Amino acid sequence: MITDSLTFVGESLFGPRASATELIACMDELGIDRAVVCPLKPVGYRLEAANDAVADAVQAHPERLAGFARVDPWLGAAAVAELERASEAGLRGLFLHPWEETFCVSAPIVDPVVEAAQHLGLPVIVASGYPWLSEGLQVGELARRFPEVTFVATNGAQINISGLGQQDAELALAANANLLIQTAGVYREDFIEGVAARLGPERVLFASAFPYLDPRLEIRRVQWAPHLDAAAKEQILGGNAARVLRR
Amino acid sequence: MDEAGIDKGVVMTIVDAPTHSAPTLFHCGDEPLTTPLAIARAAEACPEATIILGHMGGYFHVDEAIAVAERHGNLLLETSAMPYPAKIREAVERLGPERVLYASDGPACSPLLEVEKVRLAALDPHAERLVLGTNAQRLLEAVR
Repeated sequence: MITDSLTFVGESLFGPRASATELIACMDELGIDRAVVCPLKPVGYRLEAANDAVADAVQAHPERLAGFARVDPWLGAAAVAELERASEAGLRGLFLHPWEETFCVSAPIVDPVVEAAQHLGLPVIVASGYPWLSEGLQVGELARRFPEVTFVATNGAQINISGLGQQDAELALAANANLLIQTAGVYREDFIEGVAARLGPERVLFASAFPYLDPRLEIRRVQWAPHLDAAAKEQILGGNAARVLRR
Repeated sequence: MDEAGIDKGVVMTIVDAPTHSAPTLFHCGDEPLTTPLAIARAAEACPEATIILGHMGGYFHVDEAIAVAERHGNLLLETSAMPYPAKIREAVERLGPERVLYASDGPACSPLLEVEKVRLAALDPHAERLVLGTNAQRLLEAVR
């Protein structure tokens, strides 16, 4: 069972676009059984409509897709209400994008939506590694405040082609057992292997970030990793996601 | 640094390299001092030098790397670590296949994966040969 723990559908204000049909076709091509699907930031800025579109995609492909709701913490009580509404519509997690919604993930404004996620029993994916807004230690700080919530940091909790974010990402992981990382776009493959070796393969989830990144390349980061054994690859490719999604 | 903010020592090193027909490779990522626009100043100051943008701009500066390479014919792009196969194809289409070089960044990155990334760019066979080897071979064999 292979689960892609981060994909997107919709039409992004920033360019990328993908339909649920294209996502399913891509999954079929690569032998991916299931995917977590999140809304792209819509051209009209209204995340409610984008969450509805994700709920529709999930309803059309209930065995293949698990939807996450995207909210803007700056909207306060309205963001909490939207998360509750989306959860009732069948979405199974919270997705936060500090870079595209422009907030610092360790700031107090994030607390109400995470408290709501905790109350609803939802895991939280954080678009991570973005300078000043969701660096590894900032995501770790959020995880420290909510030890009962499972947080999944995209991009290995570091997007830095110099490798300068890796130490902070590992410090955040070591300090917070409720924090996991995804593999999409990660520099470098030995970082993924090192996290699996030092902190356990149960802390790492395969993700492609479709359509931002190319799933044909991203799945190979795990499948071809020379220093991960077969059991670790199985966990990273699907077992860990099943645990986080509780299904 | 002079009044234009140019470090003479660095410039002299880059200027000296062409006397040996040697290229200069810069790490080119997302931090200040390493961005394509920063290195483009060196390309402009040293038009005889061949300068390679390692990682072709990293995560957030790939479009900028291709754009500055269009402006400065002495800039080449190197493919390692950055995660976008489609951008390798775009670079080849906009700059020509002679100005894009495969690299692995090994042992940090996996050469298996890095070669696959170039293949996923779906270049024509001639361009793929140049990117995967012929370009680097030409550069290295010219060094005196």
